[in-house]
This record gives sequence, C-alpha cells and structure tokens, in this order.
Amino acid sequence: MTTATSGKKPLALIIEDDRKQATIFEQALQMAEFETEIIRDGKAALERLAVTVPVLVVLDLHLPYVSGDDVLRQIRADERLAKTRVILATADPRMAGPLQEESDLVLLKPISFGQLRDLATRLRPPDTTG
Amino acid sequence: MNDSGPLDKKQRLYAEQVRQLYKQAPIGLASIPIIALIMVVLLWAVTPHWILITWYSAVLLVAAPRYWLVVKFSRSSQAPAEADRWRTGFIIGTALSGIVWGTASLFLFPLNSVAHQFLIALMLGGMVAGAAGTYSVIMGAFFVYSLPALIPLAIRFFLFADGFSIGVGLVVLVFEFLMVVNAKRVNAAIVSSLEMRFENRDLVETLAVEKERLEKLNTEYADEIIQRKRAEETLRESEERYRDLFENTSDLIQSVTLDGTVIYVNRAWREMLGYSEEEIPGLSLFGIIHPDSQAHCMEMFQRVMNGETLDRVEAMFVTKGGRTVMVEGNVSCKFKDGDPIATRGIFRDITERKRAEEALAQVHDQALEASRLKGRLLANVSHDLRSPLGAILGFTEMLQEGVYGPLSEQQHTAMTEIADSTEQLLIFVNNLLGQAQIESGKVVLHIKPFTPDDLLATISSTTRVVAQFKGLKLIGEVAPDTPVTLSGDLYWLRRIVVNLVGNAVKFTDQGTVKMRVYQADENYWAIQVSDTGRGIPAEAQSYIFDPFRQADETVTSQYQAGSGLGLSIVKQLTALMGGRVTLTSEVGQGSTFTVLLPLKPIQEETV
Repeated sequence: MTTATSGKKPLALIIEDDRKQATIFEQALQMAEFETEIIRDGKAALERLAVTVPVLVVLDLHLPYVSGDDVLRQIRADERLAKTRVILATADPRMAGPLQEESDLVLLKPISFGQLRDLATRLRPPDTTG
Repeated sequence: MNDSGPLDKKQRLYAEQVRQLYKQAPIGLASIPIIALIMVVLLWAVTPHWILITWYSAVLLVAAPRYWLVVKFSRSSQAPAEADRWRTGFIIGTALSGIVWGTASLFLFPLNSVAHQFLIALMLGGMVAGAAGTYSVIMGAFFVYSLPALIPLAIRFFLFADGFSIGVGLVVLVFEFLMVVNAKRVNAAIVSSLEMRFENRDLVETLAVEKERLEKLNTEYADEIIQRKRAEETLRESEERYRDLFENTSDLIQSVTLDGTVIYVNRAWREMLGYSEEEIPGLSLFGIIHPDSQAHCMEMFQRVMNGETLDRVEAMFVTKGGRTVMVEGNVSCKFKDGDPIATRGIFRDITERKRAEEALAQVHDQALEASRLKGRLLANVSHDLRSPLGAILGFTEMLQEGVYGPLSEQQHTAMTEIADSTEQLLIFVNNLLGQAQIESGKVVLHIKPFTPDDLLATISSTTRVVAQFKGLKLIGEVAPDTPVTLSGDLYWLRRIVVNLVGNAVKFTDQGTVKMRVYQADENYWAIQVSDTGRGIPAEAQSYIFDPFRQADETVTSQYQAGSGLGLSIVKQLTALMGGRVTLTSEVGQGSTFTVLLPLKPIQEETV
C-alpha cells in the first residue's frame, strides 16, 4: 500500500506497520516537502529498497516478516544506499541505545509530528529544496 | 626426741657431777675458816703465834678465790661444754686448800704435845672425812684434797721413827685408804643416781616427745581426712557442675569410638534422636547417620583422626522414629599417647534454620522473578501505552498545525490541553520505564557525537505550544563558545532535558523558562534550566531528587503535581554519566537546575 506524490521532491520511505503512526509520519514528511511512500512490512521494504534510493527512511523496528533492525542492516550493507538517511522509530528504549550506532537518528516513539517535520526538513539535501 | 649419743650422755653426766660439786661446796667452804679458827685457838698455847696467824691467813687466802669461783659458777650458764674448765678451776682451788691444810702437819705440829698432835690429826681426818662426802662426786677433787692434807701428817709421824709414831702414821694411811674407798662408793652411788635421774629424765622426755609426735600425727591425720573430704566434695561439686552443663545443654554432645560405637551422649542427644539411656551402650553411630550423609561423615572421621578439628560441619542424623535431623557443629579426636582413641562431637539442630534458609532462598528467587516480571511488565505497558499515546499526540499536533483545516480559538485551546495532558502522560511512562532500567542496571551509555541543537530540539513542540499557551517565554540558548559537536549519549541526555524543561513549564505560571547549554569549566559542560516559577522550599531541596518524592505533600499539592520520578531520574542519569546536579531555588523566585556533565567536545564537524 503506497502513496506517492509526483514531482521532483526527495523520496522518503515510511516503513511502519501501524496505520495511524504511518499517517502521522506521512503528514509530517509531506509538510517537510518530501515525497512519501508507506510500506507496511519488512519484506516489502527490502523489495522496494532494492529498486529505489530514497533520501530518507523512517523505519519502525517492529515489523512483520523482516524486523526493522534487519532492514537497517541491509541498508547499511548496500553501498547504493550510502547517502540514505535513516530515522529509526522505536517504542523500546532498550533498543534505542544500541541502534544509535547504525542509524542517523533514533527517535523514541511516540514521535512528535512537529519534531519529525523539523528533523526531516533539516535532513533534506540542499539541492532538493523547493 | 633426744637423739644425743653416748658421748653426749657422758658429757652431760660429767657436767652434772661438776654442778653437784659446786652445789655442795658452799657448806664445806663456809666451815673451813671456822674449823681453821678452832684449830688456831686450840694450838694457840703450843705453837708460835706468828706461824698460826700466817697459816690462818693462808687458809683464808686460798678460801677467798674458791668462794669467788663458786659464786661465779652459780651465775654462769653451767653449760656442759664448760664443765671441764670449771672442774679444773675447782680442783686447783681444792688442791691448794689440801696443801694449806697439809702444811698444818709440818708447821703447826707441836713436837712436845702429843695431845695437840692428835688434835691436828683428828681435825685433818675430820676434814678429809667431810671431803669424802662433798668432793667424792668428782674423785679427782677428793684426791687432790685428801692426799696433800693427810700424806704430810703420815710422813710427820713416820719421821718420829718410833714404833708408836710409825703405827699412827700407818693408821693415817689406812684412814686415807678407807676414805678413798668410801669416797669411791659415794661417787659410784652419786653417778649411778645421776645416771638414773638422767635416764628417767630422758625417758620422760622421750615419752613427752613420743606423745607430742603421736598427737601431731593424730592432728595431721585428722587434717588429712578433712582435706580429703573437702577435695572429694569439691570434686563432686565440680563433677556435678559439669554433668549439669553436659546434661542440660541444648547442644547434642557425643563421644564415639573409632569403630563408631557410641560411648556416651548427653540428654539433648538422646531426646533429639529418641533413644533412652539404656539403649545407648553398643549403639552404632553409623546407624544414626542418614544414608546421604554417610560418605561425608566417614571422610570427616578420617580427617579428625589425622588430628584436624572440624568446625561448623554439617551432617544429617535419623531419629529412632525415622525423622531426618540436620545438625551442625564441630568434631575433634581424642588422642592417647599419640594414638586416636575416640571422636567427640558437639552439634546443634539446624533443621529449622535449614528450612528457613531454603524458604528464604525461595522467597529471594521469587522476589528476583517478581522484579524481573515488574521490569518486563513496565516495558510492555510502556510500549503498549506509547502507541496509542503517539497517535493521540500526532493527530492532535496535526489538528493544531491546521493539517485538517483551520481551528477556532476554543478548538485550538482544547487541542493544546489534550496535547499537554498526553505529553505529561508520555513523560511519566518514559520515566517509569527509565527508572526500571536504571534499577535493573540495564542502562548502557552509547557515546556518540551530537550537536547542542540536538539537545534544544528535544523540547517538544507540545511543550513549546503549552509554554506559549501559558504566556511563558521559552528560550533555548547555546553559548557562543560551545563547540559545534559534543560527545555523549544523546538519548539519555534528552531524558534529562525533557524532565527539567517539562517540570519548569509545568510549575511556572508566568515569566520565562530558559534552557542554556554552556561550558561550566575546563572539564564540565552544563545544561541549565531556569524558570521564574514557584520555587522549591529550602527544606524540600534535600529530598526532591529522591524517587517518588516531591516537595512535601502540602507543598506538592500547593505548587506542583506529578509522579516525583522526573528529578530522581535526572539525578541518577547525571550520576551515571559522571556528572552532578545542582539546584538553587527560592520560594516565589523561581528555580535553576544545573546539570554538570563531563562531555567531550569534538572540534571537527562530523555531522
């Protein structure tokens, strides 16, 4: 289930199985001028990442089929995705610490709409402003 | 007891003879001047006067020192050792006296008066007869007196050379001989009497000594009996005391031979293990030791026989009724001439204690399990709470941001209240979980570079909106000299900031809430949050950092409300990071919390 907006906006993948949370992320990222795409499980996420290079990935840790940290490891192992920024969203603070090393940012759920919007704005590559 | 030998006896006898000599002397001595005077008077007519006076003077001259000697003797110690000396003195005196009397036959003798001649002979004979009585106690004294006294008389008669005179001379000699015989008899009688006296005295003395010895023996024997009785009494009392201790102690005491046969046990032992006193002889300890404890006890037996004393050893016994008793105590071995002969053990029943220990261990396990469950429950609850809270917060924010169209002022206010409440709830849930993590020691710091702006960004939009809504100025400030990047655990630093700023906004009704990041000194960086709120009373400042404690209830209800976890977590996290929190506050003047942390600055920009 993906939602895409057209144009030259940078792509942000929202990998989140919670529908409500995904909606909030989507709204925040869209306000930060990203083109967004929601993916509901880890397996679908890996398939999608195999064919696209998003600027930003908002990644939930608890995902069906393939867990968020596996997805994160795949991204980090893929040179193609070297410039992709990953914001890790987790409700488990015990996971937050260890995964700080591998992600660009770990946000503890619930993630504030305004906070994500502001952070996403800052993570936008300068050449894609507009 | 007189143990003097025969020589001593002889000496004693001799001394007594000398004493007797002196004792009888005064009568003779007293009579001498009188008898001599009578003789002078009777011869006055026939002998030249000057001779008589000279002779009488000689008699007195010889008698005087003899008086003196007798007086001196009576005042002396009359010691037997001195007896010889006194005898010699006496004999010299007596001999002189004899000689002086003897001269009477030579110088006083009237050649022309036979009557006076016989007077002299009579008087000399009388003197010698008297001497036979007084001096015969020492024969020497008699001889030195009688011989010089009579021999000149006999010679005088022989010198006349006629038959009559020679006959008289012979009579004088026979007289002397008879006197000697008589004196000797007297002497023998005296000596024998003295000997008997001494023997009697010795006998009496011996008897007295013997009596005394017997009495002393009796007394000693009586004393010995008393002492023995006393010793027996003491021994009995001592034995009784030990028996009393032995029998009445609650410890189990046993003495066992090397083959395991019980020698003796005390009452506690018998009562605990259910045996009567009659059943003890021949009882084997190995029948008492629990099968599971046999090997262990055999090993202990071996060790104590090698001279070891075992303290606080445990064993299991089985009572006669089949009940298992756990005991603890010490075991040692009794040695005789270097060989082990018996083992002794003192034990106490620890069955109850063991059960209690097991129960305690179980409770401890349960408590650990409960604690673990609590941790997991907290984690699950907070996770399950966070998802719906996240949705509420997210959608509220979106409504506030006008994502779903413009809101009326009332709607906006309502949204702010919802967001504020949700934020409070969220902070609480996070703190609860943080506390659980800190308590379980699961907080691991992940040091990574971060920018001071990252810290400022921690202040949630909801907090900002609430501050704005309350009319507060919310200022975030990074000191200009702060490096672009610091190194630390951003996740936990954020928890500090969220709590301090959240509290400040919550407890400030008007004015400013200011958060500042600056370098405090060479090693420490400060996150300072100050407000113009109600302030914290001095008495509350000491415990406000304790978990679940806020300023005391009255103050709490008046000034603030919350779980009381926020500041505790701030303090604990700060301590974990090697820093400290200070607070300056005055009621009505606001509060300033300063968290000092040893953060490492990174000069090169890495993000």
